[in-house]
Amino acid sequence: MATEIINGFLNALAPINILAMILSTAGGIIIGAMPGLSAAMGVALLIPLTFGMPASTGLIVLGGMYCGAIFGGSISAILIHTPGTPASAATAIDGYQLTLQGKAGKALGTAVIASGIGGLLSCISVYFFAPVLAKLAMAFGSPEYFWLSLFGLTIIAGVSTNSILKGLMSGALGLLFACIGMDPMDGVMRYTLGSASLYSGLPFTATLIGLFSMSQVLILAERKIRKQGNMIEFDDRVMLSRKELKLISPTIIRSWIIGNLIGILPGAGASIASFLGYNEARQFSKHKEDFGHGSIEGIAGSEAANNAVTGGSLIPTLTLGIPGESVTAVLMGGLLIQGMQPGPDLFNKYADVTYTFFAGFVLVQIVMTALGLFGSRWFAKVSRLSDSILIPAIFALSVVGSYAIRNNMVDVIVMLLFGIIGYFVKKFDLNPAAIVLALILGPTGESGLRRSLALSGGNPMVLCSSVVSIVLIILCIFGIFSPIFMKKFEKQALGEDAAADCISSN
Amino acid sequence: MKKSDISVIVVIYVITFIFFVSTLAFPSDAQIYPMIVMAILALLNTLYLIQCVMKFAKVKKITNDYPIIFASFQHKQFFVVLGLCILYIVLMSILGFYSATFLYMLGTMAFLKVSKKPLIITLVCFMAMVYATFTLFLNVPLPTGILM
Repeated sequence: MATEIINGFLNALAPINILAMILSTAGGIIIGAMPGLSAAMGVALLIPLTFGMPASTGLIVLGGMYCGAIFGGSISAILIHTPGTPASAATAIDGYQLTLQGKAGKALGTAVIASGIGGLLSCISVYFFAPVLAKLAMAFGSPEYFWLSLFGLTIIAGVSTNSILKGLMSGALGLLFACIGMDPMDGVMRYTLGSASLYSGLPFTATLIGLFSMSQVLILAERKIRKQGNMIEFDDRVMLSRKELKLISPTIIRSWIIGNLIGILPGAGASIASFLGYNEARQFSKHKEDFGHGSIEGIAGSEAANNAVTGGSLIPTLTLGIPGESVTAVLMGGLLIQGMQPGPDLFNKYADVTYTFFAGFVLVQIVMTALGLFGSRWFAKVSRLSDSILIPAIFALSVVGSYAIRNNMVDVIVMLLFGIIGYFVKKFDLNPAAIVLALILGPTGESGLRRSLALSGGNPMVLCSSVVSIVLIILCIFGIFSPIFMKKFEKQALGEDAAADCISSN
Repeated sequence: MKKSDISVIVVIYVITFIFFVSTLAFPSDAQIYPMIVMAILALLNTLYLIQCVMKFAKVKKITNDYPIIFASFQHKQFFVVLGLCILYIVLMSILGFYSATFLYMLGTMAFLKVSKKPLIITLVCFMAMVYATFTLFLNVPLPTGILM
């Protein structure tokens, strides 16, 4: 494994990969800093671009966008009290207070350093746990894959919306959409409306772009156009002093552990981690009175935790194929586009690609820190771009992106349709991430179920005949009820002051 | 109980029904899996309906939450932007990708009142970026249109 890790770093340091890291991370920071644009949207738009790249470079690009966007959210949270992404809501509490005191540079510096170290440390768990968990997947047969896909679905459907039932309904709706195309066992055409372009199912990238990017165009178009934002100019130093670094170090370590664990746990996500990190920072701080009034420990707690989620969340995504949140669900789409399936193959057959990606992910954290420390002022200016420019630009990119994969106009129409569907899904509090995940996991689950039944002569008991299956069934039940635990978790993490501030910031 | 809940429930039933009718045309073996999925969707939707009815029994009122969901909804702006998006896709098949994109970007930005200088800069930079990325770097054969 040591050789593979070293080779991974050597490959990741190729000039094309370094360029890919810099551009994608910078793009991610800009997208994250723009209120209203999400990391998932950025990753979805980039997938078609990565299709023509070598697999490792493509994955590094997606990783750069992911990490950059999670950090980028803190820029607008600190400078205009509007979190660019939900993961930075906790950062806004103390970050904006520091901005009001004329210390925006210090707040941004803390966010950059905490994000960079949090993300960097989270990579350790990827190297240690991912190969072990992938080996576990080798024990899986058809029934286990059926339950695994159901588990992935229940956990994301349950956690991401306010209503458990609405989340599960979104997942089931996605499973129904996943039935479109050729029947995997009998070869019958299902719901294709006679279009040969739909024989292999809904075009995944186009559907993804529609649900996350085109729907965002409609959301931006329905409200009063946000003209160029009034970002506060700042002139204090972004670099922190040695004393300040010493002050935030224990907080970063605590938040790294919290964020990493939350990331590995499918369904929780970066927003919960950032509030938990913030709350723990306050619990352990010697200056509790500063929290809510401009504490750099508060910013470090939140930012280290949300970036530590990035590494952790890759583990269930790459090993078992169960992404825990919307960004990793989209990122998994990028993996599938390259013809790579999550699981043990990633660590054997595609080991060179996987370890190059891991090394790239480590280097992305360093690139992100450097870009943040030296370019925060510039990123703050770019993120002031008006919605009237973003709307046509995002849509035109969505069109060219959905067309580029198969050079097919039907894909563009599917993108438009799913953009409109995605708009209503978001408006009515259903869950687009659960729909996307169902599109990914649906075929795996269907094949698992039908193969198991075919091999057992139609006996449904085959589905609960192994220990792994029973464990997965228990996990599915946990998945359905996990929102109740998560809500408790969130309440605990928010605390009264933070909750009040968060509400006022939204 | 909220009006939006009623809409969600009705739409899900309608979608399930449409898929159900289409499924009846499949051979029996191919019907099983989609039917299972539809049964799950219908069951979850019915549970949601029961949950909403129970809420209604408590408060005896249907709340109209549409003004909240569509608060500050700009009708004209929304439908013109959506219309331009659809027109863009139609134009792309006729004029080709680059001409249609130029017209779409120009039209949408002009409608959204982007002033001249940023409009020209955005248009030039965007077209150059797409050309460099998709045509030069990725070699994607973008639609040339029926006129070409």
